[in-house]
Amino acid sequence: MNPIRISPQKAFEETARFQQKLAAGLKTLRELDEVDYGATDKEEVYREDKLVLYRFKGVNKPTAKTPILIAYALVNRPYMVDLQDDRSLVKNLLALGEDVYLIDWGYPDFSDRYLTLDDYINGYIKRCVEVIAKRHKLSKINLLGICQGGAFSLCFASIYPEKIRNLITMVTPVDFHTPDNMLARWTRSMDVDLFVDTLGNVPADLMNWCYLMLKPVRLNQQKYIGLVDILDDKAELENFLRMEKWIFDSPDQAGEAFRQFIKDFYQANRLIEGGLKIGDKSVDLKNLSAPVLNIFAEQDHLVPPNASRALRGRTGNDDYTELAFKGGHIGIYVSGRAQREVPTAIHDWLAKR
Amino acid sequence: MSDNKPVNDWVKDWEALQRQYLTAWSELAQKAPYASAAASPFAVPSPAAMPGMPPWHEGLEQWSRLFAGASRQGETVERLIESGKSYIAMIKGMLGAGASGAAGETSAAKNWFEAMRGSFTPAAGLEMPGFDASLANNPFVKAVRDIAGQGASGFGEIPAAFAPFIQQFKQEGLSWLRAPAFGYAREHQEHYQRTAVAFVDYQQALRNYNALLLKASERGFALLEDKLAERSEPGRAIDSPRALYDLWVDAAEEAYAEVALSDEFAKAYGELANTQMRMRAQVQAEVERIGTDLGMPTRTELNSVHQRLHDLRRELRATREVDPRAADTELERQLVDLQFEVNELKAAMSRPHTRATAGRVVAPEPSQMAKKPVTKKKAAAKKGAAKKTAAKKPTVAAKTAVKASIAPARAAHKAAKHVAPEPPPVVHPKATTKAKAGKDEPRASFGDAIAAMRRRVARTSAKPRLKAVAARLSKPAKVERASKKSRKS
Repeated sequence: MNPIRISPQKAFEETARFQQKLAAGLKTLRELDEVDYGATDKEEVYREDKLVLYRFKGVNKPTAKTPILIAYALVNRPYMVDLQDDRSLVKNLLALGEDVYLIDWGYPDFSDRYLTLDDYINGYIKRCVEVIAKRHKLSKINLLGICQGGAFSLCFASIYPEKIRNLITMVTPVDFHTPDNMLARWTRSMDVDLFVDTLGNVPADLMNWCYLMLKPVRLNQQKYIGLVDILDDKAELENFLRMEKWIFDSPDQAGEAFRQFIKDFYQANRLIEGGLKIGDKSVDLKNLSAPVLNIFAEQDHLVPPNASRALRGRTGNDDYTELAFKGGHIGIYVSGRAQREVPTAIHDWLAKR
Repeated sequence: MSDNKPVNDWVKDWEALQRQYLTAWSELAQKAPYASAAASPFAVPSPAAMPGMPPWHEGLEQWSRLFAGASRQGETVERLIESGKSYIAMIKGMLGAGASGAAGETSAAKNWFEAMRGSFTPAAGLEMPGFDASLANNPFVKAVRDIAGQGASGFGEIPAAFAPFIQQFKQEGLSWLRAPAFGYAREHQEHYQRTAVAFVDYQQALRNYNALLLKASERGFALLEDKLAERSEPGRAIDSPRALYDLWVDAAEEAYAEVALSDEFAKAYGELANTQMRMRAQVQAEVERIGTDLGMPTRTELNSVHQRLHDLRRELRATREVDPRAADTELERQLVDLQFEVNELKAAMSRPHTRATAGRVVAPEPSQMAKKPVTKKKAAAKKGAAKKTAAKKPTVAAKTAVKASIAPARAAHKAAKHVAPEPPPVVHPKATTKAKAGKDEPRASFGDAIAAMRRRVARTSAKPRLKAVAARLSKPAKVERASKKSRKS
């Protein structure tokens, strides 16, 4: 039996409907302003170079005694955690009584090309942690690292265990050599020294294309075909465009930090193989004494779940918890399920410690 | 907007076009020449059968023109339109294939595949049937194009301009590109040879990469065939272009993942990146050479400045990490030392018997030294100045007070530490002839004495590295200003 039974009439109707929806969307698209982002008020508490440390302000005063510092990845902007009113990890954490800080790395330019991982981890993150600890008269705070920021947080918590009370990692790669890690495979044969020496900073466009090429048809084409279905829904369209803005609003990568990250993490897998040094400080996950909550996404195409699961048994504390989220790398922040499950899981876990 | 028509007119035009299509379709579907359409589910009127009708995708073209550069969401719209064009082209191709496949179901299915293979717009320069347009937009090709935006003006034309030469190279073999260069311009010749080789290597790497993408595309259709076979059961057939498209996307992604995770692909990807970087580096070197000839600052120079600045900042931060006030404390300590010695010297010089006058030094008497009074006027002035400073900078004043209290201890420490203090230079040789041995030491001028003391302090500093940092950070200027201030006081 022929598995394709498409009548010409139906095919034409579908095409006509597709074009009609495009036309209907014309008006909506033209009326839309530039989409904004960020749902929660925040205040600047520290600034250094291009980095800004923010503290979010909830409706009510926080009840948690130990604040959480969110360290996001360098490769995208951190407002993903507070994208819009009904899609905000930050807002939900605040509502549960947490006190939330966030590092905004800014947009590196050529004057930042010599920033190293030492500058980011032993410098920026350390000083932000110290600023927060001082503000709250604490010796330790909670650290929540996301994606690449999670890898940084693991390094930081291993180097400075005395400064971290609890560590939460979200969609964080730990083992960079799992068989399904496409990005890691692609970097194996790359001459990273030549790459960075030639480019200086790594352009955001190039980074974005690499990510899009992980699922080229779905992300470059099918997504936009699907967009036609919601062109007549202004709210949905705004959500789409907000996400679109976030995806392509990417900073360039400081060359030296990129060089070390690719060589030590992606190529040599030193975070788990050993021998990783950040500046003059060795990273040994066994030194990480804080309890760990490791959250990962089961359909993550950027950081495969097994790359995150590898953290189990590698830290110096048996107090290790995993949360497998049913969703993707982005859905873990913005999906409806994420709003219900992730902030609550974090809050409950912290409350017990 | 790229055309001058008002938006509403465009929309009306577009809607009229759609109405025309629907009417024409409905009419044609009823006419005799298409009566066989009932027998063939895929028999559709071609554009030729609808005289005067523009192609289907004309609606999207109009849309594209309408939005060109005009919308805040321009990039999204462009992507949307490009995807829409591909999608509609796919449907169109499928319908045509369906029509020709009317003879039998098996051949119809085959024709579907062929139609899908050929339906996507091939990338410019990549004339590969079935090549997926979305795969063709690879980041490295784009990165090469973008180099023009990073200072290498006209780079986009260079490959085209070089193309005949590159072709010639290829025809004659690449051996001469590696031939030794001679004479005055040998360096330039070698550079151009390397550039040409890099370009050829890059082209080869790009071909290898694209071949793998093509392989993924072909594999995608094979997987689609398998997926369709699963749909042969009654009730599971694909009954809409969109459903077929979505199934193809699933198959294409699955196939791509297989290929993209292979060692072969990793090698090709790495080679593509590496060869392109080598080519870019060659072009950058040429741009730098031209920039240097024109007296323009170059990327290399800027990198050098940035690196130095960065190293300096790291060093400064490292210093402050050890002791947040270490650098300041060290400088302040030196300043206190200087202030103490200045005061000591001033006190000594203010004594009547020790005041050096031209050609004569009078040894002071200990009793007179102790009894030297400070005039009320001077004391009041000093008190006023101190109050002023305290009002302006209370913390500084407090620090100064603390330091003043420890000054005697410092002096004692210094006396013990400075085993062989440098004697001030002799400035009045005549006076020494009248001076008594032991008491009549040669006396320096005020400025010389200060300079000597500064040298001494500098030599005996406990942390020379801090001084180096301070020097680079222009802190000495601060010290000098502070010293001048203390001299005045």
